[in-house]
Amino acid sequence: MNEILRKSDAWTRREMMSFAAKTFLGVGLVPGVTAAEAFVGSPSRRPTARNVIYLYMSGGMTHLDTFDPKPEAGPEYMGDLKAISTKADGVQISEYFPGLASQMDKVAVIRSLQTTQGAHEQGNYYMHTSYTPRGTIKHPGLGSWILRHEGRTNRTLPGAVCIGGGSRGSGSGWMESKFAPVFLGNPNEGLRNSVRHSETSEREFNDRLALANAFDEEFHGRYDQKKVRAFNDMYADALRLMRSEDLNAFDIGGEPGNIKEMYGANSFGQGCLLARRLVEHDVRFVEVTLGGWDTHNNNFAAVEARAAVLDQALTGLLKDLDQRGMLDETMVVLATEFGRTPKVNQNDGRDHFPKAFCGLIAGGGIKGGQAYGASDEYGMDVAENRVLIPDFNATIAYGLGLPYQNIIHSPSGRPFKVANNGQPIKELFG
Amino acid sequence: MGQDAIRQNKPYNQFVYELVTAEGHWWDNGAVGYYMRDAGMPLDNMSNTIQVFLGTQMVCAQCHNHPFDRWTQKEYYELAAFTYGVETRIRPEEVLNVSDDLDKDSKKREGRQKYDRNVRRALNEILEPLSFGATESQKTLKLPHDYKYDDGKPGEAVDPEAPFAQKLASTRGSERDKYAKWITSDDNPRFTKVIVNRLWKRVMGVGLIEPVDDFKDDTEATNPQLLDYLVRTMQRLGYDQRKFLEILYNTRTYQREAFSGDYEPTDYHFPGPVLQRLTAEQMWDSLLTLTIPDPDAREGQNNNAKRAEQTRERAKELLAMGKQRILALANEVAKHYTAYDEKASAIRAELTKAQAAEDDKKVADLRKQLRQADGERDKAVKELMATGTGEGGSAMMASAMMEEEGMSLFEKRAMERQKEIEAAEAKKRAEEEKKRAAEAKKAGKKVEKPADPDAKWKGYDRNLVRASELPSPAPNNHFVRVFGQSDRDTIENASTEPSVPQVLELMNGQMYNQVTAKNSVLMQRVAAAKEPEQKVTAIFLSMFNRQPNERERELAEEQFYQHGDERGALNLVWALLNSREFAFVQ
Repeated sequence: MNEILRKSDAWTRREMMSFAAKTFLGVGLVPGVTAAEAFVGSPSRRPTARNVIYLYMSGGMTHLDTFDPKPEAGPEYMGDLKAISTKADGVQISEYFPGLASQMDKVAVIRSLQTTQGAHEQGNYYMHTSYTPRGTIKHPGLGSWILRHEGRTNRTLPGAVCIGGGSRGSGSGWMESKFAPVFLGNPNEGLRNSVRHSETSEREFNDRLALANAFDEEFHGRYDQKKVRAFNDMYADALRLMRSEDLNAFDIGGEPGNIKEMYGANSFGQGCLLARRLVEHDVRFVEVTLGGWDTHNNNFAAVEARAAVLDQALTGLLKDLDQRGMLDETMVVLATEFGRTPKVNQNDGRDHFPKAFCGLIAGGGIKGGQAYGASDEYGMDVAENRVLIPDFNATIAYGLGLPYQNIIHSPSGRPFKVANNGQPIKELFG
Repeated sequence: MGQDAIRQNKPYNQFVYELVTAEGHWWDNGAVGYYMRDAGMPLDNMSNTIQVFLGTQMVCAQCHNHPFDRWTQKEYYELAAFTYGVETRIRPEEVLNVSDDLDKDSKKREGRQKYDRNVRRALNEILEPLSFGATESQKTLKLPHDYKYDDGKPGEAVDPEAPFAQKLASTRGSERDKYAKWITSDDNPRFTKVIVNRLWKRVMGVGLIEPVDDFKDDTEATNPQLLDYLVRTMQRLGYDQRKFLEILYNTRTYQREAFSGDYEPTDYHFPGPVLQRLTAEQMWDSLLTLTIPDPDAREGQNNNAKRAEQTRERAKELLAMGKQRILALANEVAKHYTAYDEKASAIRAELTKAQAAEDDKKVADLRKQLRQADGERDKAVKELMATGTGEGGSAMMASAMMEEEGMSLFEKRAMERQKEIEAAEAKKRAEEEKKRAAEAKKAGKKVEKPADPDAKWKGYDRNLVRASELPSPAPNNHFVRVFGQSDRDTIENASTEPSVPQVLELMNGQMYNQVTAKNSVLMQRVAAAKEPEQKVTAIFLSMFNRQPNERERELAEEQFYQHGDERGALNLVWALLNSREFAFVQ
């Protein structure tokens, strides 16, 4: 039964068409009308985004001190922090983001996010997967969903990359490991170990591989198991990668100094720069993590430091994508697990707050310069147009043209969808 | 401390009891780290405890009755009430007993928010050594304001109560004592089951109950009689894990060859262990054993005891300074914060303008100014703190290092710890050296070098130590993390799933260089063997723990005849390292 289920959803007609387009035409998306829409009448629509750069603010980013300031709420809520006007009419953000203020015409801020999870692990997982954690199954992250639905555009490079750690919900979950993102620590190091030892010639390297295979013959005979085969697959992937010219997508060393500087001389900034390079080489999903948002103590000092890094990197990224004409097809998403208590606590900090928080989406067909939804006057609750986590993720899926209503079955036969039961916010699109 | 407990083979139930009841500053009792990890999240700490030690997931019931299990939100709160009073953070005002002074002070002032905040922030920094640990408070847990069930009202106080319809083992002692006794009791239906199941899984590759941390009322072991037997055995052994493992390792099930099929509970009848990939730590330790002599004896650089000692000293100094001097210092420090805040606000206003005008040069310049102002403030504060507390300054240093991104809190701590210890050790060595030189000079003798206990590891990278001696978790890109070591952010987070980076590490990584260095244990063995035949035997025995068969021997010796002793050996080692047989336990 499982086998039948898997087969039936392995190749939906839409996937077939999309795969065919890639293989035969050598393109991923045909501008104008896609194969999918023309032939199938997919539940989704024409994709406006090809790739995603997903910036994850780990620890729970305060909404009041970032993109949903409440200048009228008083110092008990806002400390001394001011709100500033931006290039988007009527959209104010906190003064910690002087750079982004000039880019808000490209950005939609969503101020009515709400989650059901108040602890980091669960909240982070929920944001990444649209499902709450269960002891019995692990859910895949968005990167894996994209690859599962549409495959890689660049057949050599990994289809999804996580820079700076990723999280438990960034992995391939119940999907096969070939849909898993590659995790990178330091963006400056390129893809570690992707070049053979310098004293080994190519011929010697190939001889060694052949030798290893010869020694393994009996082992393979005895243990024809899934986990052994999965390991073999990784060798095939790794070798293809080593032999590819696209490998230099991982090397930010060649970027000019002023570009590197524009993103900020820190790992998040350089991670965003690397993300741009990877997307340029048709990596479909790149996640970059910025930690340190769990500001239970000394909120303002801590947020100021985080915001400086984020402001420079995100400003740089949006400008760079725009100048290269990539912003139209690259969706830049900023997400976090929950907001933080609007009222400042006795340690001058803010605690976890799932009831109302904010996120950003820019590019990839999103109409910039708008604020969608609102929290109440103190940021204590959603006041209009509530957006649940699955809705937020369905919006990303919708932009990508993923069939967000299609059910895919896990190997154990359980039904899942890319954004659970989320409904996209279609108003965000231009 | 955890390491000591394992070295002493402390009975498991006692180990858990001591962890759950830990109290004191962290530098006095490392076990309080168990509560500090979940600082400010006492409810999560409870559900973690229950998940780790009782294999039971209650986390859903934090916000509502558990949808797939029997736990009610009320039960969750009753259980959390046992440890809700544990405070991991002692606020500066409480350390100094000055909250009244601060309030009085601030009421007199205009713009008190800023004043308050910066003085408080300075106090936080200064008093850091006294601020962390675990203490009991009288805080009571109340039901949440949106509580929606009939068995309680929103905001109602909750009394501690344990589920599993079982009487508490003790009625005397603190609430936490009762809680720890209830968890570790022989009568607790899950405590012993969870640990024997985990150990069985470690040995055989698959638990009798899977997953090992999600037991439910209707969960059945694949072999219930065996599980019962293991539980009785563990209790009979007084929770001696070493003796228990000895039994498992001597079973015929373990001694047989690994099961050749894919594991399915219905097809597996204990013919042998299931095929397991080496864990990240086993992989590392295997390669280490091929590289350095006597790996078990070598200590890591990660020495918590020394750091605890230093913090204890700083804490003492602070206490000796007294309230008035500390407050005065905090006021001085706060002035720097306030001055910076004003300056930064002005620069940022400029920045907004420059950004809008697309003046990239000016933007870059203003960003630089911001960083400079930030650096100057940190430097000034650091100097002040150093004069104020003698040793001092390290709290600021630590917070400056927090700027390093992409690192978990554990990693940051490990890094701070590492740096402090290295500096202290270098200082100590230099002082000792100086002292010896002075003494020798006085006595008119030649300066003698002391015997180095680490001489046998000279020439081997100092980070080549057992996985258990590495900082835990190891830094993000460390070999063991690449191979799936847990980041310790969540429970049961280690993995043996293969990945491209793992394969790249084996083919092109640093560990190959270490294993094939001239001074490695393996290469010395190879060098000592005269003929290719013996060299091949040495490599197979070292890496596969078996003799090569005839076909393999022919292939291997061929390498030596064709490429010479050096390249032949390297090719062979590389090939075995990159074979599946090396990575899996069969």
